[in-house]
Amino acid sequence: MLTDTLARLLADAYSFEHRRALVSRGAVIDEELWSQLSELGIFSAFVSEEQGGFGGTLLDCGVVMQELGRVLCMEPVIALALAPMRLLAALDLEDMLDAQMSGRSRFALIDGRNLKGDELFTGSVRSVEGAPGATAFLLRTPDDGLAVIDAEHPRVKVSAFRMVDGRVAGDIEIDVVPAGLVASNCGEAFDKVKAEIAVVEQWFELGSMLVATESTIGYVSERRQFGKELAQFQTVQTAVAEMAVACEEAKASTTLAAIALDAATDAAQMDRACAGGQLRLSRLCERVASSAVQLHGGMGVSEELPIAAHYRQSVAFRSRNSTAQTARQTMANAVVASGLFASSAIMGGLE
Amino acid sequence: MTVAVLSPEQTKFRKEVREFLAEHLPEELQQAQQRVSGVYPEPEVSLAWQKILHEKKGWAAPAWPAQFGGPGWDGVERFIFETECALAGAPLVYPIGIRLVAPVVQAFGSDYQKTEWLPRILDGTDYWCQGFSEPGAGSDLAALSSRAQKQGDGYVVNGSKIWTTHAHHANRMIALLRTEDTERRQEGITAFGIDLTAPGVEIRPIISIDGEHEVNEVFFTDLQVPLSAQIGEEGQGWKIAKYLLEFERGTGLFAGRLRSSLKRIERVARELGRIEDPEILCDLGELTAEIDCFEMLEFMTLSAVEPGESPGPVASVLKLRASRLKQAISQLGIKILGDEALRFDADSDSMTGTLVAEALSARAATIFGGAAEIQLSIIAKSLARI
Repeated sequence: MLTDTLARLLADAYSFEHRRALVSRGAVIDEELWSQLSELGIFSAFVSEEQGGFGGTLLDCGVVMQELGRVLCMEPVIALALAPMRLLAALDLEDMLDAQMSGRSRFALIDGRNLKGDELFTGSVRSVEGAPGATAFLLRTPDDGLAVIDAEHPRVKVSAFRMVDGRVAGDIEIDVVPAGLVASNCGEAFDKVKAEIAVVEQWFELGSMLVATESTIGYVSERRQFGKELAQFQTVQTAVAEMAVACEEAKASTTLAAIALDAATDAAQMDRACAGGQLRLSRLCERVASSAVQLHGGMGVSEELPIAAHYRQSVAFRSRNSTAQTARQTMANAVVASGLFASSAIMGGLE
Repeated sequence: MTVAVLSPEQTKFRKEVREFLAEHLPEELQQAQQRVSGVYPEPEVSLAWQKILHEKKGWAAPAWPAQFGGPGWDGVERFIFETECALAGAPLVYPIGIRLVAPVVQAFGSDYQKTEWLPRILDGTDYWCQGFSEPGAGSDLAALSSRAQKQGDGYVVNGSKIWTTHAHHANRMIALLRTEDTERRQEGITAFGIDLTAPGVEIRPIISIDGEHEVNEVFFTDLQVPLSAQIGEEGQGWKIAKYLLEFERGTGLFAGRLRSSLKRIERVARELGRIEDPEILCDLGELTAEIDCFEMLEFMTLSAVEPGESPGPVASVLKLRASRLKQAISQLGIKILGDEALRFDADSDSMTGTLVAEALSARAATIFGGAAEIQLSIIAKSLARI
């Protein structure tokens, strides 16, 4: 239901031309779309009912993110809405959660474990997604506390840049800035949100993969060379079939990651859900995105069509959160060495 | 530890399966399955297990509807059952009769075939093989030329079949034979259930890449086949073959088997101290992620299929992924062995011979049951619609 409404909204309000216009005018947030998404209830859907949301599961959340991925939405929905809400809800910080849900605040999470200080912090944090649009930062302190830093503070400097997938981010310089501690022992909550965000990004990428595949099928069915449609050539058919196989697998991979992370009860299970999904999807999206470009020929490497942007999205996916190599190591250490690999991924153990 | 996707009833069923396995799976059958490197275990292993499943629980044919003596399980129950069996190291029940021929008989067979054939498949009296490929008809199955000529009350069969797995153990074959020369080659093909003990049948072994005898060539010379052996209508053979192949490709429930192969090579890696190599450990991690994902794909497919139904063209995706994964796992087995792999034939007590033979025999996984290229063509037409 929510997904259908969202799909219709995005079809109207977030065309590829519109997206291009946002980039060229250097927009940080598309305020009109942002308020429409907020009205739709996207931002609060994944907070529990007791906390004023709709209690959606990670799977529900993934399905919504898939729609945003289909249109390569650059808005910092994950960084400035989903992530802070999940964290604030997990820590039960009611007032801040209300401020975030009502739109009065837009928090961005920053991992400040490398910063110096305990009440006054100094140091830099690179590549914080959504930072230029944040009103305040939720800082993970070196001793796993949660502190709030005002983004407008004169000694906070945010150098904005656009990421390879078009999203906005910033490098943050903090020079002896006061931060109010609002919670302590937040390490687990931070890790959980980080894992959830990684899984949600997998769903976003899935949306992009599905559209890239659909577009490729459309293109090879119409484009004629040597007097016939490209789809008549067997090498092309094979390449498209491999894309379709990768998409089927990607659907299974993202579904598994969402269900398994929601059900995880220890760190090894979280790692298996999150890193397993990251690794699998990294492989699958690389294959789909590069085949989509290849089968579009010159059009695939130009800005005439969204295909090049889908490719850039896949590059961003494979660099953000964790690379395939890191995910491989996590699988090796947390899942193989622990013996967890020997049990079913979806049924878990019995006791 | 929580169960991610099962209802309380399903969890209860899972416990029942586990308890049954703990009580009734004999250690010698478990060990025999550990040593299997080819496609199927030998009949003395698989039939012994089939008999236990059949007699103790009526569980020998997980996909059969209740009316034919099956447990009438839905897709999820079958998934639970197969996963638990595989992870417990139970032998693979020989699938040709139970998984492939039986659904065809249930959907297309005569009343006679249903009452005479099905019980003998279930209790292991009859051992079926599959006679599809011919020397001139491999991937291009419709080119088959072995002929069934109408004569009196039955047919006379001449020709030959090739790559027939376990024909040397079988007493029955489901055979595709040409009954008519039609313009569209597919329309002249009819399916039969042939008695291989009748005069006019000769079976010659073919030795495979791993040195084993699993497949055969089968020759028919003036073999008399009664009318009652014809399955479905004359000319319906192609449709029946496609139906059977969807079961072959899509209902194997391979994830548990693949995971138990991974467990096998992981154990060898530990025994040889190769697990200390970070690259080997990462390779095992990557294959775990692949199997986890494949398990979900199978689960999602199966949970949408009713008892006795075929999964449709998505079966080709499962077949393609399962066969490639089987190859990837067994290749990692070779990598783990290092130069131990050279001692293919020398160490009869170690797992070396089994793992090398598995890696060799796994090459066939992307060839039989419709080569990978055929699966991709089916996927291009059906899933991608080009």
